[in-house]
Amino acid sequence: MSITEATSNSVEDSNTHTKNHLNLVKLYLAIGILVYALMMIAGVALRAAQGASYLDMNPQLFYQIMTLHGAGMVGVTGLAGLAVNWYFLSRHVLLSTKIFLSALLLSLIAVAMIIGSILIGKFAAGWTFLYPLPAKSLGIWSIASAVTFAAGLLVLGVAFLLVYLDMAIAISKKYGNLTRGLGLHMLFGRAPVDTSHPTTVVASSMVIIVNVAGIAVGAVVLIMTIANLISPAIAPDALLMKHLIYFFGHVFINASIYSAITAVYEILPKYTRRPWTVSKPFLAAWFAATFMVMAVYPHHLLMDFAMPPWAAIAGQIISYTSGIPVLVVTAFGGLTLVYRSGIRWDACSSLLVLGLFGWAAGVVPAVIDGMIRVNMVMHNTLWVPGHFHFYLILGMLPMVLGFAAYLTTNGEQGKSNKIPVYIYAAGGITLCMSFLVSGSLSIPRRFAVHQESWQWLGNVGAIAGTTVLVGTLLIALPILFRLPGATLSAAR
Amino acid sequence: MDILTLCNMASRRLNNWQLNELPAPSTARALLVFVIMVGITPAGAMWFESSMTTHMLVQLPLLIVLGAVCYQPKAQLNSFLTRIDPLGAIAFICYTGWMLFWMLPLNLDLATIEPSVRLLKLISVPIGIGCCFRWLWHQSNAVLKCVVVFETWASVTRLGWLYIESPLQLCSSYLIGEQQRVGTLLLVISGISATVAVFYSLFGSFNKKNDSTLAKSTSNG
Repeated sequence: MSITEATSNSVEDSNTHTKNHLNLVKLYLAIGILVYALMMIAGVALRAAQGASYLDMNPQLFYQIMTLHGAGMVGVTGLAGLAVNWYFLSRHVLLSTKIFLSALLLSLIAVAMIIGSILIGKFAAGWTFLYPLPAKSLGIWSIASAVTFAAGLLVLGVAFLLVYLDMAIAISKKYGNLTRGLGLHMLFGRAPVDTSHPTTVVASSMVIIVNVAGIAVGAVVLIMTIANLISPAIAPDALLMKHLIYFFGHVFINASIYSAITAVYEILPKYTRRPWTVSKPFLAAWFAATFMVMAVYPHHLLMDFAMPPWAAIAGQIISYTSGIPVLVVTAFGGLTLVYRSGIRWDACSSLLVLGLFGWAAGVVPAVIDGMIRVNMVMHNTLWVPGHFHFYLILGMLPMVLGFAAYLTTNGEQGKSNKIPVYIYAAGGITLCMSFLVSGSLSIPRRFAVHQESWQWLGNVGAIAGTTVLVGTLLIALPILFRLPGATLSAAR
Repeated sequence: MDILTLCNMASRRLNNWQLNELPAPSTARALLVFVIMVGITPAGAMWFESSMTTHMLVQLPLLIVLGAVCYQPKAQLNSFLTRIDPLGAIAFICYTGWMLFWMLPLNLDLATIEPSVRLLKLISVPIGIGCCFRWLWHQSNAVLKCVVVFETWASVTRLGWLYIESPLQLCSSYLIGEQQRVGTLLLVISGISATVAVFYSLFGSFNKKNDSTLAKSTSNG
């Protein structure tokens, strides 16, 4: 074979490889957007049922749909965040497309198991499968459907684990180990700060560390749940199970947001024509977040009387401080990047900045809920759905849609319409406020039937949710149509 | 000297630990035959199987480790195995299958009562788990290796917790107090191994690839 032939083969291989990377990310995004839309319809139906004016829903069906909405949204948020993170990380390290595809296939198997257990098996214990509720169905769902649900989550965990292991190995091969990926040698060691060290690698290292720990705990607690379902005599400590379930679930959903933030780090500097480089405060913030994300979940256990006081107090303090490091660095960094930069506002840049706002402002209801005295009154109200819908509708999803808009315009600025973003943001803020106001009025969460005096807020939520759905479709449909033509390289 | 340097030095020592630091296969083979013979004889069997701790945490790990260390196939067998199981997938199925089989309390019970099941244990554990693990480790890529380690760790943790939580005596040969003691020991092992794994994955000094190598491997797909 001549040198020219060898070179052309090599270039061809490289192009195919890059194309495979991009096609896979497109596949993840297309599936993600469709699932988001379907789950939004489910969410609107839930709020409409609580409003009781537009929809009448059987309570049993309500809890099934609530479980589907929760599991579906958490799963798709994880997948969408992973797609964004994988796309940008593959620009810096060598990642396997086979593993990424296997993870998608495994996730689809998991989704089929979860949907089957809910729609066919009538499982309705909520996505958090809080022990011992899955085993106490009062005859509504079978043990088999609860086992299928837990096994589906287990398969989903394996899918994510495969990709995280691949990412961890790739980072370790290039940078030495995960702490070097996180930049600790620059933070604590004698090495000077290397501004060329990618922000995406720092964020990815943190996400890998926390999420592998979360999945490890999930792998144990899900099997213990299944063991309890099969043999009720095996009855683990309920408080320990709750700790582990929330460690797994809270870390997983938090890590999804931290994965999507890579879109802001990578795309916003292109719009503002200002670099976003690592610095000591940036590295310190991500280092602190690594521990805080793993330690913040106890605000879900402050109402449990069996919690030792020291653990509850520690939970409150960490809940106060957890969001601050990365949030301050990222929100402040984002604002300084945008200020007087002459940024061109289109759908992509608007969504990314909306995502930063949602992430920053979403922490406020979380911090309020993290206070023990407030938590005792507010945690079982709609305040908490207000907090996480704020994070996800106004923080996480705009980052994903912003990334998709960037991809489908092939990085060209000013090519996407920003009007749908206003509709989306207006609907999102109203929906979150309908939850938060409901919470402040002590309206309980997870109630299928609401008192007459509460119902108007359910109706407001349903209308706002429909607006969010319309905004999402207006943003997403052009994206879905343009997606096949996206050519922006994923791999380096 | 800062904490990071200390951690990196310790992990480098762990990283430099090679399989050639293991005892030679001939020594391991002799030891394995010795352990099997002891396991067959009534006195030896009684010593190993009289308590759940020595049975599960001494005899079985000894058989697994010796099986893995003495595994050194001849060239002909090696090429045959490479042909039928190039990725280590069959070995992975055998490894997890035999692990699950010997985790079932019923089989552990039978091994203490039935001589044929005892013999099956003494043969299947070193070959089905130990040798398969070595082959799997040799053939598989880094991700599969991590999955194997992860799954083994999770199984040990689950089993330990189940032994502690179960109000039932799972093995008829062993009392519930001993079952709970083994459960506690399994959780201690799980805790120590998780600490080592976290330490290694965070601070381990892996081979760095420079950008040109990386670019080359990227272009080769």
